[in-house]
Amino acid sequence: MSYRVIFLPIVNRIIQGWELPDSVLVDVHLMVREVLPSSPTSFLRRRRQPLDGMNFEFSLIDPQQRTRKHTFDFLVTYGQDEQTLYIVHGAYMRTDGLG
Amino acid sequence: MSTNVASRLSQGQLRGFEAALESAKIDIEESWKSEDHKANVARNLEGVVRQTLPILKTLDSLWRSTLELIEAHVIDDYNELRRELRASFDPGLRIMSRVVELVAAFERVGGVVHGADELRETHARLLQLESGIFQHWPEFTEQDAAEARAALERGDGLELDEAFAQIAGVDKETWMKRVEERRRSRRS
Repeated sequence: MSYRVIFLPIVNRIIQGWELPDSVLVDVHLMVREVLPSSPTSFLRRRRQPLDGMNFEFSLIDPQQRTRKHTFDFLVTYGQDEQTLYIVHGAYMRTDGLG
Repeated sequence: MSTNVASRLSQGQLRGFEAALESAKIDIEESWKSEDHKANVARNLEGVVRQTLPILKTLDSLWRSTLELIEAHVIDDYNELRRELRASFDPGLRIMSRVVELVAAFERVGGVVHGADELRETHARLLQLESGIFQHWPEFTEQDAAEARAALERGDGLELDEAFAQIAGVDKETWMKRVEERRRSRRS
């Protein structure tokens, strides 16, 4: 079963604030659109405080700048239909100087 | 799992610095007394600079080991993790900023400190490391949780493709073309 993924509006504003390069934003989209819904139980970890939800965390190497890594942690909850995943918050960390 | 042990280790390494810096400040203030005194202050400051430079490496290693834990999906509590990291970064940043200030104060009275440029460059890199980690990693608060619950109850939300198009500031069709191009380039 594949899940539908919905963003709360605040998550849009949060990600806009990250000012990611387009190439990275596309890769984030693909992770959330294709990897997460295909098998949520494989990628999500339970998190109870302060909201009962799950973490979806992953890192991406910047395709334009190979020494830079972008790491993301999205807070996810299931909808009442249990077929929808809501992304309710996000955090982003950048690491330079790889390799 | 958290980074507790690594964080505490870094905090312990950093704590001893702060008292030593206070006495360096007094020495600089008295450096007008004689050239001998000034040379002595320079030597002492160079020693302080040498001990300060590894702060960057210590905190960089701490972050990289934390990143490994994040990527291994073993972090239980991101708020706690953030607090632990801050507890290591804050004294490190405070000490390095203080040493940069002390060296600048000494240079203003005509003193020369070998390694001053390396110190300033290391300080800039530490600020860059800190900003990369914390700038877009806010604590997820009770208030954030309450707002998220309220939004879920209202049924607020955007379909994923539409949401990303909005984030990128383009229409959905343009955005999906970019996504498709990327998908194709990954396959080839």
